[in-house]
Amino acid sequence: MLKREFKVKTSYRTTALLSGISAIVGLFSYGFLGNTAVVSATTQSYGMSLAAFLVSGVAFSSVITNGVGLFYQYASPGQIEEVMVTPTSFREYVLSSALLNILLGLGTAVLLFALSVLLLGLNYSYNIPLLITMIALGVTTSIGLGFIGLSFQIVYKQTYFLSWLFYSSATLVGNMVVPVQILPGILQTTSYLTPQYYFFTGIRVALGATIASPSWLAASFAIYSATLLTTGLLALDRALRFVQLNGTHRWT
Amino acid sequence: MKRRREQRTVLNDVTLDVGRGEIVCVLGRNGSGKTTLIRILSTLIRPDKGEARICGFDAHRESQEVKRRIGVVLNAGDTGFQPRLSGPANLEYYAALYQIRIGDARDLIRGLFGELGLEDRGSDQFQSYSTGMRRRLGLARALLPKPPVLLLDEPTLGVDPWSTEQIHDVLRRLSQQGKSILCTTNSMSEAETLGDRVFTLKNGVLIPTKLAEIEAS
Repeated sequence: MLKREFKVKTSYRTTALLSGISAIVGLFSYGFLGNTAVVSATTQSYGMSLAAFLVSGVAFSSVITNGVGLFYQYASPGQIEEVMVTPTSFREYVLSSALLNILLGLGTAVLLFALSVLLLGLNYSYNIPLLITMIALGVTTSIGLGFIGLSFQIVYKQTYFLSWLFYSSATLVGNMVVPVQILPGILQTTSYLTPQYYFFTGIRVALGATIASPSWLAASFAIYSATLLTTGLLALDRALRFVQLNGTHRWT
Repeated sequence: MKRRREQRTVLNDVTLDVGRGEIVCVLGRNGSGKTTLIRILSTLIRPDKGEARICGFDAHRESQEVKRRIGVVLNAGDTGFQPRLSGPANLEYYAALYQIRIGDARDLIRGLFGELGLEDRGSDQFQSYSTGMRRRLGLARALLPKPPVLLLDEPTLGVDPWSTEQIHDVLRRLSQQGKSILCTTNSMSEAETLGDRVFTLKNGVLIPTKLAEIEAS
């Protein structure tokens, strides 16, 4: 039995490798969080306590962390063909199907944030227009990433690597729980490549007491999310063309 | 039409017309290309060569127009349903995808459930349906948009003889109403009893088959 299980486990080499790297990423995240500079980093950079920083990161994560897997369940092998023979476009179908999940993600964020304010007594300042802008851009980013993830799923039949990349980057370099200011230089640079950095930084600027000009951040995030959405739509079109030529709608 | 897959020619110069009110059955063994034929006609895949036209519209270039005119039973018809929803709730979902208004959809579904003998278990979850009921629900889904053309891929696979007969009755009635029906099967008796014309798909080639030949074989 042990030998059989070992053979099965080792046959999933990529999964094993990525799980190992995830564990190390988690270890580093907690290691960086234990750094004494974290407290001053959140106060100086965002004008909020460490607790307020962490809670706002966790509370709003549901807006964007669905991302890559947003449309996963609506393109299952047992359903994709039946939907594709109807006159409703596939893009419209996945978007309308995922609408409830998007709204639930937004509702969860609002609920968790309200609870953290009420129960934990955390103090925030509120730049409501910026907060709404960031959430709207977060949703747009999530949809863009969802289309990219869906394209991968349609062509490669799995999104494990992409999901892993997205979630791992959110944990360590996405400014979700670990402030980028305390990361080593190379990781700080990497964080600017992730959409999560712009989302979570924007949320902190909208909720923090610092009087930093948010316009550059909002503009950068707007460009980034528009690029992701456009890329996602183009990728989905290509994926659908690929599968129409290849014929591999079903894969089980 | 021609379609190659992994260095193998699945369909080779297949030419087929289905007239109004006609039922054409395509017989063939597993892997003979029957499903590929249905998938090309239902706009899911493209032929490498040639064209497929439904009601005058090209299945590839005018796929939206084609989708408005076809009802399709794929994979024997029982996939794509939510197991924890009832049959009518599942069909309401597909009615929305066929852009049918909810009020009209409910009337349609009630009618189809009566016609297909599903009304007794209307409120049961799909997961409790028998194989025969699932196939009939798959057929009901194909009939929702009242399409002039029906493309059916082994719609009675695994269905008991009584339910098969019931499905055949419905299909004959639909053909009398003027619907064009292309039905694939691996059952010679089904092809014989249902088809106005029968073809056998062998080595990628569609061979007209006389009913007497089926009986003899």
